[in-house]
Amino acid sequence: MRTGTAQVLTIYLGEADQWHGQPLYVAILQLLREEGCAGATALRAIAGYGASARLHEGHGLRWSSDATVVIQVIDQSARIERLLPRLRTMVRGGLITLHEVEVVQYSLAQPQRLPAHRTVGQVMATKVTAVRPETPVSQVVSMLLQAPFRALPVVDEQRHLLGLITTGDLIRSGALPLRRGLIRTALALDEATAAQMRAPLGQAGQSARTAAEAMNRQVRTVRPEQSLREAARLMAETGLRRLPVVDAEGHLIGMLSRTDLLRAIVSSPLASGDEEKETSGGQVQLASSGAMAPPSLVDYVRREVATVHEETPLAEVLDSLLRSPLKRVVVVDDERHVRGIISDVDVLAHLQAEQRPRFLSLLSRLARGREKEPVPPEGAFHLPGLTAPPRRASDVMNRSVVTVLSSATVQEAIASMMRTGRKVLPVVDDDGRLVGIVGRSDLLRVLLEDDKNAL
Amino acid sequence: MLYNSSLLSRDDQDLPARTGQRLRIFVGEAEVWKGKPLYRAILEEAQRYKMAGATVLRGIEGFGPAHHLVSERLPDIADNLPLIIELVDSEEQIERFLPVVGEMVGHGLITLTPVTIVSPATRSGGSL
Repeated sequence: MRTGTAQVLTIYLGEADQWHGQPLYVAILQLLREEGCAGATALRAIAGYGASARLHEGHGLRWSSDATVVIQVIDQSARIERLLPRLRTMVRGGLITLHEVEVVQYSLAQPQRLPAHRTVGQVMATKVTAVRPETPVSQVVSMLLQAPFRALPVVDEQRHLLGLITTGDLIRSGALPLRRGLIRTALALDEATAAQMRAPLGQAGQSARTAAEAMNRQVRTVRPEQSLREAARLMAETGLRRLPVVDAEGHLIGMLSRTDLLRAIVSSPLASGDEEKETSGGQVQLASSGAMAPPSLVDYVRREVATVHEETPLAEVLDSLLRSPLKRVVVVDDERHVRGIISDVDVLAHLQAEQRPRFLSLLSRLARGREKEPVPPEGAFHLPGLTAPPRRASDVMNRSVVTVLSSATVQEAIASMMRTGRKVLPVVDDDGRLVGIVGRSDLLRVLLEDDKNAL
Repeated sequence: MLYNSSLLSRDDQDLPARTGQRLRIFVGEAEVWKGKPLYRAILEEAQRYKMAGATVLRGIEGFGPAHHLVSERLPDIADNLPLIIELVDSEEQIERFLPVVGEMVGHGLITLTPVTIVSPATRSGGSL
């Protein structure tokens, strides 16, 4: 019955403290509610004193008292962190403490709704690393390789958004050879493969180009007051996975990623911010009882899925892999039971050391030309010298496949992705037979549905 | 609030300060369990399970899983004020009581925090 941890924020203030014409504690509770906090309780002490050095004492006459009021907020640490600067301004000099608690049970009075009506400002990341236009591209590359984020906003001294640099931009301009996951895998493999990666990275390090030259100036942005549905629609229409959030004056105030949206779909208000890390008891349960049926995964599954058998020769596997829209091949047996899954990273890791450079150059060429969406002729991915293993699909496949039942809800599928770190899930029926495949962009579409389903 | 020190000191009698757990249950004042107010029912169960003590605090305003915004300032929405029921006891006692209270709390929040019990330190410490 354990459901994870949360933060307790405790604020001490005087009942008579005012904020813009209303009691401070009322203003704080209002702010917390507007920000979608999981819950907050204000308690009145019967006596006390604090930073303001007044002796607070509750008088018999309730409305004129200046007793100490204690506000307790229990929420995920990400949201509390986001709210702290504003709370600090409001509670000037008052005491604010934070500690962790274990949430044993959290159940909502109402069934969980999809958060399509919530605002970008409520789920965006506010700790955003940005660079200046004069920052060298070499520094941008190393920042993007190490950091958890995949896009660097470029801002001026007033934090006006000037442009955005994504790993995709750097790949197309040649500053990055491949996408990050492959680079990291390659760097961890044999010395020759790592050297092949380091050469272009080293070139980028020598380059005199600046962020201003590498950035994309036509940036699509969102405003904090826009709804998650609007943001999801923009992502779906443009294929963008990250949107800078700007205020009315064009100042950068946050970043919204596809992951932020997916997390908002599965998070009940109290769910901890980083559900990717498996906690002891899984996540806060979603109340799913009630009249509104949660959106079913079946409506979002891709039926066309690239499949091979365990015996399929590697060249054919590569053909299917690089043509498949989600860049995954599912390995099935004659009854379509799922045996394994193959991504480009799996192939790279299982190739012989001397085969890897060719495979990497192939991927690198494909990555750079991605805009044109080339459909290479069959056999284009034939790697010579595949006489030694790996020769077949079974030699390169990942056997620990995370599948999801087609009868699951969209939330369950997203939660499973967050928990396991998988970006693509094969979808199976009750007998474990493959019926399709689902990626993160497919699941995000749930936010676009009309109000009948989504609210 | 009365803490029965003989119950609190079942174990670790020789240690000057012991670790325990603080269980907090957030419910609405208007919630009912088997015909009686939920917080009363929880208190009675706590006694039956020989928990060392329990404190019920009533909030003046709040919102959460068990209630929408309620406030004593506005009589119209003052019907379900937030209550916090707090129990501090040994880890074993809390573990024993958790399933019971979990069953009773339909809508609400239950949290656990490890605490150091400074007093009563030993069986002979007297009541708080």
